[in-house]
Amino acid sequence: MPLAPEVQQLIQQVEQLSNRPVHVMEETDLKARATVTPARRGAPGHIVRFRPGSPSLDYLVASQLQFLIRTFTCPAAERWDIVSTDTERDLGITAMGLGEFEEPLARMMITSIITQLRTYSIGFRVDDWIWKNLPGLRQQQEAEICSQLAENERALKPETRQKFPKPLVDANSSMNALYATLWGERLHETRFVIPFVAMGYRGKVAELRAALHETPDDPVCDKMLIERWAPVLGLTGAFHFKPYTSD
Amino acid sequence: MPDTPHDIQFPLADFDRNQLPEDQRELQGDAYLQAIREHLIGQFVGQGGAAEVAVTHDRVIIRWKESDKAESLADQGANHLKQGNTEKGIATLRVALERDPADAAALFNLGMSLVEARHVGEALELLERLVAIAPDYPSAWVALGVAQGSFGEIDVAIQSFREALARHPQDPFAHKNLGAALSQSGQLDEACDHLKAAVVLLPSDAQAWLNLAMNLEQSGVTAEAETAYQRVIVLDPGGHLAEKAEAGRNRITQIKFRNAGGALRPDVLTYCGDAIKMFDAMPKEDVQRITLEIAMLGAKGLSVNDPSTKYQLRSLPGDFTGLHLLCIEYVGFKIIDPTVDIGFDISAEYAEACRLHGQPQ
Repeated sequence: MPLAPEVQQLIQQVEQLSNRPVHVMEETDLKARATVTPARRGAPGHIVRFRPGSPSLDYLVASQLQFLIRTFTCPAAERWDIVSTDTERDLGITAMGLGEFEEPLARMMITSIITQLRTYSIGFRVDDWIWKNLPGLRQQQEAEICSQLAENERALKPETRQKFPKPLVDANSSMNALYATLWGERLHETRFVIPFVAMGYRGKVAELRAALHETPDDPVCDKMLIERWAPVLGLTGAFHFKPYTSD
Repeated sequence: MPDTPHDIQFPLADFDRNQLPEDQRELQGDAYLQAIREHLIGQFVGQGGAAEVAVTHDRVIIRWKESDKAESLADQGANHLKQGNTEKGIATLRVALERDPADAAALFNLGMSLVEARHVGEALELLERLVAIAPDYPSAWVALGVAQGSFGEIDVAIQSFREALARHPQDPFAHKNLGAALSQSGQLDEACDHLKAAVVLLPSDAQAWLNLAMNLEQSGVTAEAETAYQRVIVLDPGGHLAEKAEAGRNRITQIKFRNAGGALRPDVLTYCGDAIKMFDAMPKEDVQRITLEIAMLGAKGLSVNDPSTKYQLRSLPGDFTGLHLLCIEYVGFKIIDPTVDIGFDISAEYAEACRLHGQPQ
């Protein structure tokens, strides 16, 4: 499976920064479009997985690699992971209105929204970097983002929203609304913003956007960005950062 | 960009009442539906398309059509300002900033308009935010410098203008404002270099030429200053900048005039004496007619220091030098309206002529 030269360069960069090889592989049952698993616990290398058949493979792999690059360009002492203690998780479950759900489901949903907090906030940095620095992947990036925008819009359907408690829906929709706003502007696809505006997410968008703009675009500051977004989304106290280790 | 409208529907129950202004949140029935409709229409202004909004008893329906000529709120605000609708422009730019506190175009235009509206404190805050977020935004540092200058902080303003030039060496407004600020702080030579660069980059900018003219006048480079003042008068005929240029040109003419003839000029003394005698024998209406005709002629500029240039009047036979006419005008106004200042001081010669002819001043 040949990857574009610029993606090959990113792979080399990750390998140099982390002293571990990168393996890119298909995974048929993957739920997300692509994922990355950093090399830990004796794993021979970082693994980027993607769903087969995607026409935007280079972009999807590049974006996963950029997440790794942002981690490994930080000094070792500044690298981190997001984790939750039981107490933090319970606090998050209550804040997101998930107390009525079975515990395993509630835990899965709180983990999922915290993951979204991380992937969306840093994802804006990653996507912005790719947009500015890898013009050869622009077409793939636009296609994937438009597809994501359409998917986010579908999540606004009443039947979907009614399945989940309002605080959780609001946290998810606020991040999706910012995504629609920023990419709607850049791609001149303003229609994606309209439903979020109509449902009243403009205020949340302004708060998240201000944090995004005011936090320096330096990987060392990624943690700060997440800390600024958390209270806007009602996720304060639901997680903490722990030093990154390869163990 | 799709041409087809994009339809969005959601249950009325999903509409958050808290979006409405406080006094409309308790509305019921049709009044509530109407309030939602109006609120949503307002929300979609500046969103880059046109929205039709219908609110039924169970759902909200929005038909959205994107516009090819989508104009951002910041652009709309700037256009209102250009058209002189300051209030509307400022209000629109405030909405743009509510939606995106980091909208550089909105920060720049709102900052500049608030400087003009003399709300300098708020303008400074916005422009400082702008240079922090987008330090390379065109003219951002110039705008900040202008605001700082309006706040009386000339040295800080000079630093901002220098920063603007470091980032954009050919920015004409950075040269123009740095030159003006340096002139104001007495650094005339460096100011002159920037002001000369400004008029090369902005050849039709009357204010830039006026700044240069005043700097040259202050430095005693009178010939070049006169040329620059003349350029202002051509570029801004009848405007307040031209008035300032006229005043500057008169000052230079007067200096040259004094330098040419010492403390009390005998030629002026003679002209004033002749005018006193002539007007003494004339009805006041004739004095008025002659004086006003010279004033009209003078509005185009009389060559006071060049005796070879001659002028004719309809109301008085003969050929006159510019200086001669100026003396007649001066004496004429002393008779018909002594409060008029013709912008040229020959009061010493006039006083002496009155004394010689036994006339009160």
